[in-house]
Amino acid sequence: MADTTVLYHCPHLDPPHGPLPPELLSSSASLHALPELYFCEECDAVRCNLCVGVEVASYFCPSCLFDVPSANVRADKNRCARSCFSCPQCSSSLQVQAADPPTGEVSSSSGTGPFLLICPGCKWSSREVGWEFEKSSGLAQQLARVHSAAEVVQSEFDSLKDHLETYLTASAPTPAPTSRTRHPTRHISHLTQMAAKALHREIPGMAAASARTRGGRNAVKSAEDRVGWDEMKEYEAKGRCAGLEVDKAVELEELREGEWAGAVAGIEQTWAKSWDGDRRTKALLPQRIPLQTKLTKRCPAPTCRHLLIQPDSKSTRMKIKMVAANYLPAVEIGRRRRRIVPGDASEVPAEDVERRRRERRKTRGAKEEDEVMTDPLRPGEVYYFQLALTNPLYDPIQIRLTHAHAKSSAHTIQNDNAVIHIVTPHFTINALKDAWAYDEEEDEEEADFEGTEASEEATGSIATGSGTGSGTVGRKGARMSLLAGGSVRDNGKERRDGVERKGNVSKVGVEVEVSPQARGLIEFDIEVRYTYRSDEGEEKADEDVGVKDASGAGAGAQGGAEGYKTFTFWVRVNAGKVEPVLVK
Amino acid sequence: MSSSSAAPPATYTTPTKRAGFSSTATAEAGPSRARPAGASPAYSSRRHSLYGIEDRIVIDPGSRTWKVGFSGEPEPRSVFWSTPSSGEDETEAWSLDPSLISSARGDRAEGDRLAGISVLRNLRKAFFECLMTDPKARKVIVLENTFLPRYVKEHIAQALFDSLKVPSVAFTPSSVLALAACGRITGLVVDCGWLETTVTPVYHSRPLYHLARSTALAGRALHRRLRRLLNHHATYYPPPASLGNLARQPVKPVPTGLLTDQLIERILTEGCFVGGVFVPRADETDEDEAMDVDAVQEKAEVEARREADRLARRYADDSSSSAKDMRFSVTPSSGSKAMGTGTLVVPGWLRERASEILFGDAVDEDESIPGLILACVLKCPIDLRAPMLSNILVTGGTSSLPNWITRLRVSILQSLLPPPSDPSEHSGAVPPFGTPEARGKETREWRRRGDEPYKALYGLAGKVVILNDPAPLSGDAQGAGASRGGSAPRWTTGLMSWVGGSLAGALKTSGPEIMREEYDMLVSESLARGEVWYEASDAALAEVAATAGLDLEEMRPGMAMQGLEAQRKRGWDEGRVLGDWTRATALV
Repeated sequence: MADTTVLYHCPHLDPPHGPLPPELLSSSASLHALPELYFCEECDAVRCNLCVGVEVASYFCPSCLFDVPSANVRADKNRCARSCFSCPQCSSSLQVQAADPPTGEVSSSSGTGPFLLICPGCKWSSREVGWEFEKSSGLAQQLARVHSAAEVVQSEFDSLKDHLETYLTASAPTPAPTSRTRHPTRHISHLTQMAAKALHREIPGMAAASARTRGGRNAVKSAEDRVGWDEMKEYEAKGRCAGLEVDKAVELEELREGEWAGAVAGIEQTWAKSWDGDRRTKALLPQRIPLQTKLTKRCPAPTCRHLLIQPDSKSTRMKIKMVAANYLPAVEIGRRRRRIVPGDASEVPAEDVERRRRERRKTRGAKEEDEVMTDPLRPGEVYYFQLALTNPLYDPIQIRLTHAHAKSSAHTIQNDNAVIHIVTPHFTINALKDAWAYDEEEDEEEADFEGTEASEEATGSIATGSGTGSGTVGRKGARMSLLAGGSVRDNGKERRDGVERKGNVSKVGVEVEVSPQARGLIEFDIEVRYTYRSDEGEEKADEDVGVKDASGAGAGAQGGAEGYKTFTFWVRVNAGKVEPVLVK
Repeated sequence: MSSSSAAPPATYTTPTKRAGFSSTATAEAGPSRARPAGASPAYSSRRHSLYGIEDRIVIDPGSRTWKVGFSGEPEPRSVFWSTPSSGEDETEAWSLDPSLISSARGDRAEGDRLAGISVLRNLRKAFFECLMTDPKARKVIVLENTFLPRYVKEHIAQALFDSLKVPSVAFTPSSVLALAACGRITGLVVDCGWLETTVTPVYHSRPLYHLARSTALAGRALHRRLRRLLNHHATYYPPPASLGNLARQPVKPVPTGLLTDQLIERILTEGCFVGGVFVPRADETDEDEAMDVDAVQEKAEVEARREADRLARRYADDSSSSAKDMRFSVTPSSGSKAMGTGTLVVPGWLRERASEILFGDAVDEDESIPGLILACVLKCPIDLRAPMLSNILVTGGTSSLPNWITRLRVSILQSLLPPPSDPSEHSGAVPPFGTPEARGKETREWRRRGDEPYKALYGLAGKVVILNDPAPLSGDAQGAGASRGGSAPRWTTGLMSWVGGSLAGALKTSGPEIMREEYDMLVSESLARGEVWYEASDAALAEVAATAGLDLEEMRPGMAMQGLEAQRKRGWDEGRVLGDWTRATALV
């Protein structure tokens, strides 16, 4: 059942670094699917939803699609103030219908009132809670006039507020004139004042003693007056808990008898109600539908703050859309094959991973069996996967895959569950072009780095709705050519050095040796470094990148010589779940 | 303390944009007239501004549920789970210790990270999905539970200031706010939440933290008990496998995979309640039946089974419970091919008695909740005992189970009842000193003292009042105090503290506020201190290496540290910016 996924790492505001190893669950918080990520060109960094700065651009009702002015949102409690209600039973959107459509007449919607709210899903009708409306529009306003349940709560709240306010103002000490200047910026709360007053108050016994020394009844009386001057008066609740006595007793009895089976509202339906009342489903009222927002997102770096997403309030398009899918190669995993071992496999000692691998390589290509990706992996088996990387750029790129947590060798990942070997760590991916550009190039042997003319044509012709605002200089927003896209034909394939190229997709192999005691998910992190040609170095485009990258292996060497730049990111590949073979 | 009491009444705590306001206003008011704090008509009018920034955001963060909303409103805008439910296990955003978070597997640093992530996620969700507001414009009141772990508090502050850039945060004791929601400032707040039940005495709006007590008997313990009982004593009828074969065979024990967190929560909300005081039968035997411990079965499983059976023997008969069985329709796990829904039959005694764990039936040595309350009152100064006992306020989501509060009162009163006295004790004269009889009597008294831990409180039994008791004793049975039972407004227990927070925000009061600039300064100071410390330790390391005559590369782990130990007097901890609760007391 486990789905294979590839998640991308967002380092948030830290300098680029790899994710924590997959054994630690907290690492998963900084890993996201590629379509959820943004890319800030100014910072040259990946940004995710947990770190971007968010501002609300506009509010709208998801039911009637009305754009609510932001001035009204607060008073409307973030809910649609028109006629949109959700069903209390099944939470689907309610419809307005005339209560009694006169028989024989065609349309009920044109009928004259009274109107009801009807749930198209579960046939709940607002008549059950006694809601009928005179007009078919502006139901929320009609309801506010009639409905008074909220008033009880509000008035209790207000009287509580008045009660506390009286106390706060009465007990607030007169300010000492000198202390003002001493701490002019300090904000002290009323609670502090209350406490201070409580500390300064006279201790009853002491007060009595001092009064006695002075003698006379008046002194005693004034002392008595002063005792309790800061006591709070008893608050008389309008709706006392004790008033619920009968209701609660009945509830308990009916609950005991099991009469409430299936009649109690779920916790999520009632937990936002602060006023204790009937918990049963039939007491639930339709709720106005919560508004939704269009958000503007900004780069969180304090020095940057560039817009990453800016929605257009009038349409579903974006004015600015800096999504990571336009910048980072898409990594996918697929084509699982299991190695069929002839005879006994346990001859080679388990410790020597490298030797086992060499053994396998000797007999390579002997027997492999295609498997369905969703099947569970078996412990102790060896699998081959294909990693497909899709280039979203109009330039060819050079890829280097390494192990993200370099403990042992750079191309072999070993953890508790499996040994993962990256078969082809260095390879290139062709540039993104239009489908017809690949057609023309079909006969050419090399979909190569020199093919700049083709890619430049493509740059002109592809204009997606993305990345048209905010100084998009370098790599233009581009369209992904999908792996599963029908336009890519088999004869466009070429295979060399274990790399399968097709259009702007390159596929390389990954070998996963599941250890015999493995359980749970097989996950591993790969550091992907890609080298692309930056605009500044365009004139030197005919330089051979492959040689250079192989020589200069220094990580994080940003903006290498000759106009080529590298970018490093990390992905977590989830190859599937291990389930032990059931012994029968 | 003295500094805060002498501090100026610059108490308007106005938003930063109005910084100039307070000085000009007081100047106009003249030197003779003190400006009553917060009494300006612009502030006290009920709906002062439609979308002004003076309304604060009130957040009640919980390990299980979060409640968020605007101050001045009687209901929170939104309540949500603090973690997405992950099926079988109970889920919480944090635990009392970072290493106890289940997915951290005992690793403190990992648990700390996990808690930080869920705090950040929930706060972002609160602002952008629930409140849909700009966090930069509004002050925030965070309800601080009595024993809110420090690391969680720091994560909350960090997320609010660093990620959301709020102008100020005020951590405010939830116990005080719960009382404020009932119009009081003195009382004993019993908060029965998810991780723990805390009892906090509050006197004159000051929580007495040093007297507060807590126990793990709360929502999570109840969930575990209910899950165990359901597993062994409920009956599950799976949906028919095919149309041809409609017969449904009961399955017992109920498969654990079926008992998801949501299902337990549902059964608890919809079917469970708290029964009256349980009187154990006289003939009850606690002996364990001899069980065949299958080699395959794990020990824990056997224990669970034994425990469930013990409870069933105890409660499953008519004298204990008259509640009827209840049926719940259950959707089987997604893997099965069966059609329709299954049915889970929950026995009546289970519905009624699962919550006994909170009232003195815990397996381990945990104190029951009534016991905890009384122990807390015993620790209070003697002049506070009566006001505390007559102002008990129950809050927390778990206590919203039907009959919970009434049962609590009955249990407290029961503990305060003197045991039936032995007539032989009173008859006859006091035996002469030194005789064996006298010594025997003394010994008996000593023994009895252990049996009656709350003897000192017996006299106060008539004073016990629970403020939000829905069914207080009527009439004069309990004296004058009884009329005050149930005098609190009808807030639900789960939201009482939040309502208090909303009130505090509307009144422009709260715990001590931390401004963003202040926080940034503290953090940078702390970082600078850390840098100095790291430099010093690096220097020391190099020095040790030099004296040892070894290259650093050649040293084995621990070698350098041996020399360092003497110099490392004071470590440095990255997070220590916010005061902990003990310090906060002094400031409030």
